[in-house]
Amino acid sequence: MKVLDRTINAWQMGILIFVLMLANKILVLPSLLFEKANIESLFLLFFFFALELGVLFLFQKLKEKFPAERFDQILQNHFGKTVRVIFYVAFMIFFLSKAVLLYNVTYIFFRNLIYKDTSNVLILFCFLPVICHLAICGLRVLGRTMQIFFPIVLTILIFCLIVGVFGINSRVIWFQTPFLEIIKTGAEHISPFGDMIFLFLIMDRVEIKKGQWAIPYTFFALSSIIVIAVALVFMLSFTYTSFMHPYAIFEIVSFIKEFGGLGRIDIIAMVAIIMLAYFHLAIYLKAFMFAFEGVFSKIDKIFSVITFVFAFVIVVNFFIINLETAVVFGEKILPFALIFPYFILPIFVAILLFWKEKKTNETKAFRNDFQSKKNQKMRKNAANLQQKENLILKDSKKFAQKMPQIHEKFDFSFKNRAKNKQKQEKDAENLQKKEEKSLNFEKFEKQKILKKPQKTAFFAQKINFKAKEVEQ
Amino acid sequence: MKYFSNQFFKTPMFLVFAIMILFYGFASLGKPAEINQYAVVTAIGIDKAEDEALAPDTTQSDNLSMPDNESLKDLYEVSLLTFIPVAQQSFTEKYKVVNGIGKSISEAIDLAALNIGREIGLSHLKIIVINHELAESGLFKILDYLSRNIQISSSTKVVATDKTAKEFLETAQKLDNESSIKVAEHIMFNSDYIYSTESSLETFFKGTFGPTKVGLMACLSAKGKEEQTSPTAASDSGQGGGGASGESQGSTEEAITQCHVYVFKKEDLVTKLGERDMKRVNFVLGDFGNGSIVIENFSDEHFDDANLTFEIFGKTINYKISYQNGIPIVHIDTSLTLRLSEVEQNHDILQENVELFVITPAAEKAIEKKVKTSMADGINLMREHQIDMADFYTILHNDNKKAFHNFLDSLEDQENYLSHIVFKVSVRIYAK
Repeated sequence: MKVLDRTINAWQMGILIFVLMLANKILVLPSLLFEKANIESLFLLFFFFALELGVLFLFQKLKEKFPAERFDQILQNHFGKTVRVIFYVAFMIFFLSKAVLLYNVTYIFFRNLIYKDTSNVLILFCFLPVICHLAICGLRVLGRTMQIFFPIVLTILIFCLIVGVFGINSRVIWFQTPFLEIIKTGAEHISPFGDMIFLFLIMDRVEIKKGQWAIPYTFFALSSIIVIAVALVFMLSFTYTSFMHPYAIFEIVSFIKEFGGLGRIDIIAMVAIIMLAYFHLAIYLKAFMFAFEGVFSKIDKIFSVITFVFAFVIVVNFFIINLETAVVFGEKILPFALIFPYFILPIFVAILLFWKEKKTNETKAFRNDFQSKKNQKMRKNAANLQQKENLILKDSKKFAQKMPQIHEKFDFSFKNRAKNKQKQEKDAENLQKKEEKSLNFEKFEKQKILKKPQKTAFFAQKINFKAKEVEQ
Repeated sequence: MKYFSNQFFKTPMFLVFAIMILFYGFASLGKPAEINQYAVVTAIGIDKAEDEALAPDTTQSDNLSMPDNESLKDLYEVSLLTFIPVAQQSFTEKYKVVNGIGKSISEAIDLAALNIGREIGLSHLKIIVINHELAESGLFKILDYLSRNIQISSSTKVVATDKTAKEFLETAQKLDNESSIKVAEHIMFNSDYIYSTESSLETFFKGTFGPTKVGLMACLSAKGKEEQTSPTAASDSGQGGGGASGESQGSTEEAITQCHVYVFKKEDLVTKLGERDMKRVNFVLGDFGNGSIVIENFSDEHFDDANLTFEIFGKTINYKISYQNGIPIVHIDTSLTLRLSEVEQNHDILQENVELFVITPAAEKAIEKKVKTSMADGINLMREHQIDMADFYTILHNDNKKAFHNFLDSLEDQENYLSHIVFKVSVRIYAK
């Protein structure tokens, strides 16, 4: 099985950002935030999204500076191999931990609401093959699949929000939580954030043309607005009983059961949660694969999937096995890991962007010129490569279309192979005979040629003798 | 075929799909159907255990629900109005009241489950009935279980009753069976009226966990027949489209009526409000959709010493805050849309066309006076018991946090802040 990784365009990258921003934040987070920091926790969401926006901005700058280079190559070229390996090990641990947290939240949600007696193994069996397949199929397949499901997810979320607005009937008290309490709550519940660093891992596989940077930013804004809107509607609907309603997007729709008389319309929210959970886990696995590749570059990519699955199953089944451990993991352990995307990585990227820039300031004009030429060449090469790739794709499509015919032909020839062999042998024999004949004929002719002078000499002697006799 | 089989084995997702179907197929085949596993509970009644409850009856065929050597004071008796779903062509729900006694609510429910041999499903629970003695003393111990249970929806109605919860459920069941009056719908309908309040777990907890710590709970009274031979004989019945198999005795004596609204503050029962008191408070809260206003002994150019009843069609209530010398002044602007629905005069038949009746300035003034008096009474009631039912705390805090907290700091008894706030009421009347 080969891992395929083709490039993705700006739209697919935008949808990746949309999923990364949404999935883990519209379920449990609003309830946990309100429980400790009341309505002021909305400011925390704004703050976290500002951090994510900062990471996206850094990514844009780095991508513009190194348009075709991989992040691990950049790290190795500028900071050495050790830093690269440390970074990529950190990426591996970070995304594995995030996947574990996301899975646990989703599993607990489904176990509490639908599958009360279902074991973890059964749910794992549903998730793991699909996310592995999505990740192995490659980034482009993942992006395109998400493009198909994106309108469905967006429609469901907008529907849930509109329905949820009708459920708002509470008055909430503003600005009562102490500032330190808000900070503490923010530090405890930062775990669902920090996913934007995934973009650094797919840096070389993203193709963004000039003027297309607005697309990822638009998707970022859209997802942020949805998360904040869901949190706001949820908090205004449930206020002081938020702790009794842990699943925000699901709860804001559920009130319609009683007042709207529409039955279990809250199932709709579950559909969106399932889709988002699958895609988000697949993205985490993909991130783990890229990170694994950065550390163990000589090992086949498929081992990264196997490693992830083993590590994931072990952690989920033996370490984080229930809600209590999941909460401890999400609130006490994982927040420390967020130092990596929000502190360490930005520092290194800033160094790459500014410090190195200053060092080579003297040759800046020359380098810019050289860089632009290099870029042009690279673009040409990329265009050529793209054309070739397209041609290969077309050929492969034609080949795929002809495949059945070829198979038929192949089968037919297989049946007549024996006959053909016999014919070939006969032909070969005949050829040999002909060759032999021709060889004999040649020999004969040669002999003839060799004999001819003898005869002519004999006749000449005869003629000479007769001529002598005539003279005599 | 060969080509497809080759493709099947070459594509791992097909294999995964096949394995999943086999895996889950067998897993589902090995499990019993949920319909055979659960008893659906639609109402729970919670009482303090008494001697009578401990007496064995037909619903308690054995004494499993009787814990040995336990003091009755610490025990709860839980009655479950339950039906066991049966797959049939016609839709029939045969209800039964099942009891269990335990040291905690969850233990009592578990023991009740033993009496029917099924797991108790609380997902369809619509109403929780709590005995008035428990509501007055240990309500929050019970509500703790109800708030933690994931199966119970927060929109479940919760009411107190002046009799035992078991009796209430039996009466409710009979009413449902004989006249299709459902208690949960009854409470939901009442909450729209000016005389009552919404009484669900959600609203109760919102009030209790809010800044004012005031929670409201409706109290219903069940009037059952006294000539019944045994309560358990009446507890079996059928309902639904499949035809009822209920009691043949007279059904006119069963009734469920609202008696009070219980007001709790910080886990304690502060007061019980009757329908009139609730009407006064609701004028301040603006938490109603329907109701009427009666003006007595009214006289103008149309009426002479008449009793006029106006039906409320719409209302808007706005609170405006201002401060004077550091004291908050709350302006309550009320707009009411009314229609004259009844006239009671002593001497002759009404001559005016009621359909085209326009409220005269004199009538407007009389209504204004009446509403203002009611609102003043409502505010005084809240002041008297220190129960901020309208959540003025939040309104004042959100309006000007600094000024309000300065005002609070200036008070000796901060709990009694309502008494120090000045209220100004303005009422505008519109005819429908």
